[in-house]
Amino acid sequence: MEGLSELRDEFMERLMSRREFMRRATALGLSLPAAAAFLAACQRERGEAGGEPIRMGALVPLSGVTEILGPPMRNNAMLAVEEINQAGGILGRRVDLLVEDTASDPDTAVEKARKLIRQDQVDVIVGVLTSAERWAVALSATIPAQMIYINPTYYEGGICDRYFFNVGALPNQQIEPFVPWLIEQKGVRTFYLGGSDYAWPRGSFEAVKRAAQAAGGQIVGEEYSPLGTSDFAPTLRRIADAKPDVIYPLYAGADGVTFLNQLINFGLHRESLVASSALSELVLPALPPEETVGWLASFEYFMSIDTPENKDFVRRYRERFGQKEIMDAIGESMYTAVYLYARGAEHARSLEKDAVVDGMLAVQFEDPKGTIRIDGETHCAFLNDYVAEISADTSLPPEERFEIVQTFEGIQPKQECLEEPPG
Amino acid sequence: MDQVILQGLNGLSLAGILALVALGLGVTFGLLGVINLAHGELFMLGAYTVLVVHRATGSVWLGIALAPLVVGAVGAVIERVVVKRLYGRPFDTLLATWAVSVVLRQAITLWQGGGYQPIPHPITTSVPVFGVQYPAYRLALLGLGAVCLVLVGLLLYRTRLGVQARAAIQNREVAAAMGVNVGAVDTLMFSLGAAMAGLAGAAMGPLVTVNPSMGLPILASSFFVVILGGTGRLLGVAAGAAIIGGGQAVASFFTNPVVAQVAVLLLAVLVIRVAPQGVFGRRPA
Repeated sequence: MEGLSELRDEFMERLMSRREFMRRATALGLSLPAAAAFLAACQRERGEAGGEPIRMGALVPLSGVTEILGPPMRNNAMLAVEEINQAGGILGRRVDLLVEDTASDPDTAVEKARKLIRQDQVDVIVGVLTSAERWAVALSATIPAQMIYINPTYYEGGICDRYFFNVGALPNQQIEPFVPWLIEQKGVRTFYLGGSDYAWPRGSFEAVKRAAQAAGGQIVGEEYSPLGTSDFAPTLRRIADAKPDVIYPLYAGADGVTFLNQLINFGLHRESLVASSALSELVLPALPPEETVGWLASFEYFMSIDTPENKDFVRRYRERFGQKEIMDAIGESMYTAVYLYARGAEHARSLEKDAVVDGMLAVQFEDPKGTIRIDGETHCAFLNDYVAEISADTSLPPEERFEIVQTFEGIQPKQECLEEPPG
Repeated sequence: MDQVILQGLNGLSLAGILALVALGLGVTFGLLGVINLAHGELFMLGAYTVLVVHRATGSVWLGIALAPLVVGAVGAVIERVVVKRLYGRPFDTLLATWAVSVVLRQAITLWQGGGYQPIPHPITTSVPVFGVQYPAYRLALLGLGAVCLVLVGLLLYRTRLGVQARAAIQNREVAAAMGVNVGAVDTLMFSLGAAMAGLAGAAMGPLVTVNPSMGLPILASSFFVVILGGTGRLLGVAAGAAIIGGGQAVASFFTNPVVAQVAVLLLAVLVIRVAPQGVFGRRPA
């Protein structure tokens, strides 16, 4: 608290001196040279230690088809920034968070990323949700500008750049452990894959196919639907005909709930096991509780992870944003992303871009989802993979029904670099 | 052959509901000349009516029954407060109803939150159709859509109100001179269109994702149906819904959902090129 009041005093002092300077300058009536001198003074202030706040840009979908996933992302970034500022900032500097809405749209996301880079002159960008937005922002905004960009979302992988970091799960950290586990532990063999028609489901299903075939499983169907599909009956009919042991859906946003609701209506969950690396805390509350018993999910984070660190984190989150608030793995990873930058800069003892990048590659820290460190080759995080089974206890709140039945610890990230998005 | 009939059934079960939404849109556009961009939000309000009623009373059916009344009332208010002042100014109504849609979406977000909401399935049993188990709820939707189309048809073509409404479209001044209360007819028709959207939203709620922006994709596809079928006639809307809904389901079964969407869009473009008034639309006088 003492550090905070000191910081405030200093801030007020500088504000006063700046005002006085302005007053004098205007009084003298030397408008042009005075303005130039004033600007120069500001410039000097910017360079001083403990001076200008660090600017962090957060790109989150607060409107459009994926808007439901945006608020937990924004909240987690806010929580992390508030905690960091309360503890004295990064290297004594306050962090300012600038939140921008991507409208779930790649073009808007790129526009907002460019605004953050050029106009707001941010030091780091965190965020975006969909792979379409991610590839667009990385290829058209952050990589050309050599801007540090930390991605929170589990995705199909492939973006390689010195300034690009990823703290969400890659397929080899979320799908490759999960699929063989299903085959061995649940005795299943045949899989039907259905997903939205874009990079993330297509790239992820490649991983599912590889993992299933390597473990003796078989893919009996694979198909994609346009985003915003409201009737999945033809797909469900084909699934019913194929009689797979496992239905593995990867539909984005609201489509995911629509698909599962219609699957329940067709009664297919009584014939096949439903398993997915997209069944999150945000999806489950929208489904009839008694129908989802025994479904399986795989993520790098669940709210139900039973560690003191996570319990304390969930408590802090809910104290700040509301007792019934829920989040998914993507939301929590925004918290990780903010801390990765902070720890990296502290380790480097510098805010210089390349020093921070080296710092982020060197640090190791505790996070609600486990220990975080970055792989030097891929710039992605080592992560745990948690497999959760939906509990039969329907009286529990939905986020507590994710019963963790298996943990794969500290999986090294693996990906192939791509020039453009897959599919 | 069985597969074709099953897929047709798939298409028609939701096409019936789509027809209901499109019919509401067709009534407001065809009869009042208002392009109602808040129509999708009225659909959404129908689903939220079921959600709230179910939470309070435990009955989904009561919610579905109340939805057209609640949403019809909301429609009447929208007509009286906003749309009424803008007849004959299509671009202004476009903008105003778009604003209404934003207000409704945000109001629901503030009241119920932005998250996905659960509505229990009122019927979970399946019935055998050609030896395949088919969800009974979808068959119920098919029936509901058909019954509503017939009822609206009877209302427009077999009642005094229907005659007055059609007279008011053909010539407002003359209709008014003949003693028709044109203002009241406008409100009633707009309210009827809203009620149909509300009923559709309530019935579809359990099969889709209930959230504040659920009306957006529905609005797009029902505009499509209205354009394809033509605005003047009930039969046109029904045909448009059957072509869009049924065509997509059948094409989707024989190819895949992405190709099906492209095919149906292409078909619509062709139809509009060949018959700009829609399949069953009236030719301009």
